[in-house]
Amino acid sequence: MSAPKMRADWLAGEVASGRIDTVALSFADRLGAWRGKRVPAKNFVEHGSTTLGFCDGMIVCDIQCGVIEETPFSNYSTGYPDLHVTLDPREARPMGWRPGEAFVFGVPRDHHGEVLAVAPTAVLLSVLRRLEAQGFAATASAELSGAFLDRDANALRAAVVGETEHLPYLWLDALTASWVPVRYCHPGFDPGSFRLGLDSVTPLELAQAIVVAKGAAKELARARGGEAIFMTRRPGASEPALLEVTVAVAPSVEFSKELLEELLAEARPLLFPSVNAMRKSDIPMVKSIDRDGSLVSVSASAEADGATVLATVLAAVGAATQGTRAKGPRIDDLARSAQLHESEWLGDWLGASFLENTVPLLEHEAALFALAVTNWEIERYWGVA
Amino acid sequence: MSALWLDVAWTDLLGRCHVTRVRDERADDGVPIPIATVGAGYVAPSTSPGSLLLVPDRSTERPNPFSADAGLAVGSLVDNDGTPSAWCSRSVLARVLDRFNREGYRIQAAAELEFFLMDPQTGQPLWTDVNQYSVTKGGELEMVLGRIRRQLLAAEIPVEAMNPEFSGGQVELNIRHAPAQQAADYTVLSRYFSREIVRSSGLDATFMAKPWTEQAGSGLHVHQSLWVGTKNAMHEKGQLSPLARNYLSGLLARIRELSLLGSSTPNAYHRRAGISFAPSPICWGIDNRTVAVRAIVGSEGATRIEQRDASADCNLYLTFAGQFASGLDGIHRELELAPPVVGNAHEEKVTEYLPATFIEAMAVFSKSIAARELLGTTADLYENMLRPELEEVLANSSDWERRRYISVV
Repeated sequence: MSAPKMRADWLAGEVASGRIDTVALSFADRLGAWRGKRVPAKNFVEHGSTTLGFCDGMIVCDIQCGVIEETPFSNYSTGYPDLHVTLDPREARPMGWRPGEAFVFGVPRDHHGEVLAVAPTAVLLSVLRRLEAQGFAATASAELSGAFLDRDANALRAAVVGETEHLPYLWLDALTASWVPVRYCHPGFDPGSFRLGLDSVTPLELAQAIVVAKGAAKELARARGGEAIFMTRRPGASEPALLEVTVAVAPSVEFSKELLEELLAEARPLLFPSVNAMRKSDIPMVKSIDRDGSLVSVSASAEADGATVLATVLAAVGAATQGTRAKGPRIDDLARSAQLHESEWLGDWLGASFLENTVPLLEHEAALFALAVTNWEIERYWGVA
Repeated sequence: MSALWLDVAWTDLLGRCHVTRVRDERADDGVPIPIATVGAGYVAPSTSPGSLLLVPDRSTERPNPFSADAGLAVGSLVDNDGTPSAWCSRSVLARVLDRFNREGYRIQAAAELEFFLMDPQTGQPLWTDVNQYSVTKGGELEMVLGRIRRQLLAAEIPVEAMNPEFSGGQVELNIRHAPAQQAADYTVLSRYFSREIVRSSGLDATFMAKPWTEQAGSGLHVHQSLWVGTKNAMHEKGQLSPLARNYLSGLLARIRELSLLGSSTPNAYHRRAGISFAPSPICWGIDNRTVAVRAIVGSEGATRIEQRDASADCNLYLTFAGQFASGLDGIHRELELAPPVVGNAHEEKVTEYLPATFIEAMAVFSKSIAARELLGTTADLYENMLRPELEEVLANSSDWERRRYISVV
């Protein structure tokens, strides 16, 4: 992630010295979950660039890894073929919290080697290419918030300042050792909560850093009997868990905050992709924008996939620089995610295929929630209605 | 290898691996193994008298990462006159592969191994949610999965990858493809030692085909390609070669009658119930996970055929032997391949289905001429060993039946 540290021969050297024996060959699914297979590092180094096949349903699955039959890209009628991920040993990095292990990310492709239009990383690369073609270069930084909680939803003891093995600092060390561009970590307002700052890097690097940061947080917390929570609204918490991204686009082009807000209002389900996240509709998406439009900060749910958020925000910036106006409705209800199709700029920048395959996921979440009888309903009506 | 002892891994007819430790210098003389053990059923030893000799295949000798004072090898069972025993499934596979060799072919194969990790206290899957390919969940399991990979690699078994699989508690182990006899030995050793390593880590593991109704079962997909010298004879211009098409037709032609070889328990047939990734319609497709035989085409190195019906608890050697012999038969008879299924095979108008139950599988196997041609007297031994399962499954009232009917009828 921290590009200067990446060296073509790093992994080969670590394998030769016996310090690394395992590599996680990875990709991120459309919800930003870290997926892959662990392989012997020696084989990977000897073989060089390696293409692995994975069941393609696993890039478009829901948050619980369930396959959604309405997703045109992958369902029983497509036969769930393989997606292919090509991984390069020269891009390997240490897994800082797991001695002996390294990881590497690849972009999912189809049978013919074309990047998958449903893969957020592929969409992000496509947006970046388009911006570049228009003469723009982009970098991005982020702040990711969440909480380390125990099984009773109290602050995890290891997350309390003063504990010998203070989990947030272990996390920082682990990410630093993984060459993730971490800048800071400090407690949030609520017990156990944290804010992790990630330094400015290329958008793709940042997207991968977010995947790694979440994965490391979960693994470190689980090893201590707890969980790293990125769910947007937690019971009793006063602050939502957010992913706040700041994109820097050069050269700068002036556009208004209102225009960006208007555009992103059409894309809200992409930035707040769960029922829980969308119900917190009072979170303003455009947090700040500098006067010449070159530095834009946008808030999304911490649950959201980093690549999707960055692609959407950069696309909105790209559209705004062209003076594009919103044509679709503002979406505040996940159940109305089909309205994403009415947004011309979203279809234009992110691609029809991406939206066609994302809308069923969002509607699926909303439909499941509509079916559920919640604790709130039980407490509210049981016995009195 | 200069260790005092040699651990010889051998497989009984139901596919269970056993390890016999013998003084290395005396190993080639053979170790007597009672037929009562070789022919043991799932719950009781065989009543057949006599014994066989276990002899190590010295070409399989390898470092033994599980014991400092013993080497490790795979063995075969021979009769007292030194000829391969009808009880030896490894020899059945060797015989089939010899036919390929005589015709100038070599089979490269690999089996995907799926199994469940369990909490030994509760006997339930180690976790319940779905974590397929999750690097984070995999990290939490590295204490066990990492040990499995490292120990198998130390035994010179070419582990390719490992990952959490679809069901809660389920993982998958991939071994790199190899000449078929080696591939079978690798898989047998991997299955045996994986379970031992899991148990020594304080957990439990099972390769049972379908341990839980609500979870997907554990299959054993066999990847196979046919080589002539250094050329993949299944590949032609990015597609299946005519030879591969004949071979695949052979697989489909025999898949039903030989189903018992890959699915040897009544439980295995629960995998096929309903719409799932365990196949039921007999058909094939290109990179299609809903069919019984999946063709993977592309580069020469990647082109192969994957038969997907067997269960993780099968006899590897018999499963391999049955499939490869079927493929060779398809080549000999120049069988014509039906068009591939595109889309969901469960919705296709397919005329033939795999046996839906153990009872059906036993019935078609009993009548199968191909099974007798392939296995010889081994077919009868195998069938006789499974006969008690048939009787038991017919005689027993299950907990499901009690839950379903006891208070309403």
